[in-house]
Amino acid sequence: MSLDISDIKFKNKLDDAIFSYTGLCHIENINNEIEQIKKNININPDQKEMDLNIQGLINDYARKQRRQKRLNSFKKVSKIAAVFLITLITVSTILMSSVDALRIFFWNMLIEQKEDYSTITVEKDEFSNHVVEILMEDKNLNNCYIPFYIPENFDIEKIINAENSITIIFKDMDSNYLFFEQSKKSRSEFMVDTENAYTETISIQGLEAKLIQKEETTAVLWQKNGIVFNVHSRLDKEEILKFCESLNFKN
Amino acid sequence: MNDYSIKKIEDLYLKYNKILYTIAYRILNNHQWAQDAVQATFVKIIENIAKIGDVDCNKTKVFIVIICRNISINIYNKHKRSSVLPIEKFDEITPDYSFCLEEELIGLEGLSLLKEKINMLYEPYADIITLRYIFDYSEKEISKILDITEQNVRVRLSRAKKSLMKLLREDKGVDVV
Repeated sequence: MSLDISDIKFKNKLDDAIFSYTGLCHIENINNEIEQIKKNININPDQKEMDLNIQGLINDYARKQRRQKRLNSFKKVSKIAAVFLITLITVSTILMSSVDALRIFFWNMLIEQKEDYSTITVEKDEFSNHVVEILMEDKNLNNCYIPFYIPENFDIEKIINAENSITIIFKDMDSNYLFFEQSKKSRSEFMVDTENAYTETISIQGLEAKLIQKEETTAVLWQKNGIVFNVHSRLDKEEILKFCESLNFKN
Repeated sequence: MNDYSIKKIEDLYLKYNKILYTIAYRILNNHQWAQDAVQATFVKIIENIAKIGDVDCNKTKVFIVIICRNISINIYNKHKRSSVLPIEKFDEITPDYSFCLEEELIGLEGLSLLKEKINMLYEPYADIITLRYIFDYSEKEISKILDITEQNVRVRLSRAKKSLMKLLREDKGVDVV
């Protein structure tokens, strides 16, 4: 059998074999050279200087390795933290959007903060200031909501502090009334006359509320933290809404 | 892993520093340059520590000797640029034979003759053939180990092959003009 060296594959394989053999021979030569040098080392470096230089290189390398290790650990922890955070945000968002109780809790939390801010601004109103002070100082009004905005010229007419409800009636000089009731009732127990009335869904302190206008009376009903609020008056809608928005919890 | 690498570098230094220094000094004939060459060799060893296995194995010895020799040649060329023939210029005095190594080999009487010729091959050329065909490094890896460009690796490898062929042809009494 004759070998056809014009065949490309054969030629390449033969080339590889020759060069590999060349490499192996070279390795043998280097090893022989090393053995010869070992037997007859007569050239000596400035060992101290060379040792110091190489030790410096090794120290640099060790420092770089430590830094790299720390960086890798940090990257690893960051990845886990990022995944955890994304999962937490995703789960929270899903829960917030699908579970009513959580959503309400979240909004209430935000509104509590907003109420703190509202307190500061409304208390500066010179017309309602003295009425608010009276409500704040009333020792019978504890653990309930009180308004921090009172429409102009309105004063406290009556406070009815019952077992499960507190009603505050405000009245101005022209005998206009504003009723504010807060009661620990469930939504289903609360009866509202909406016959021939205009109703609208609005937002009070970020919570869904019902506005009912019948004849000249405007009523606003909503629920917060298990308390049902009922505000009604013949005042302008804007005044009533401003009053509703100003309600704040008093310890 | 970190401590293991550092231990390996320290062991390599303790075991081979005098041998590397001797190899470098033989090329450079200058103590300071030879020390620089050993230091530069260890920079390369540190960069390629993952490629180095057992400290005592033949492959490791050959690998670090190849690095040291090539670094020493680079240093020599740098300092004696005017008087030395750079390795890349070697080809200019090498006639451009039509390249067919197999034909030359078949004409030789067995592997012993080939081995004889390999021993005569210019060492940096034998080094690059060893790195490519025994260590199986890519051109990119070789370029990093020897501190030359990938283009230079290709050129040097090609010249190494041509040089080997030239040696084989010389044996057959071909005139080189």
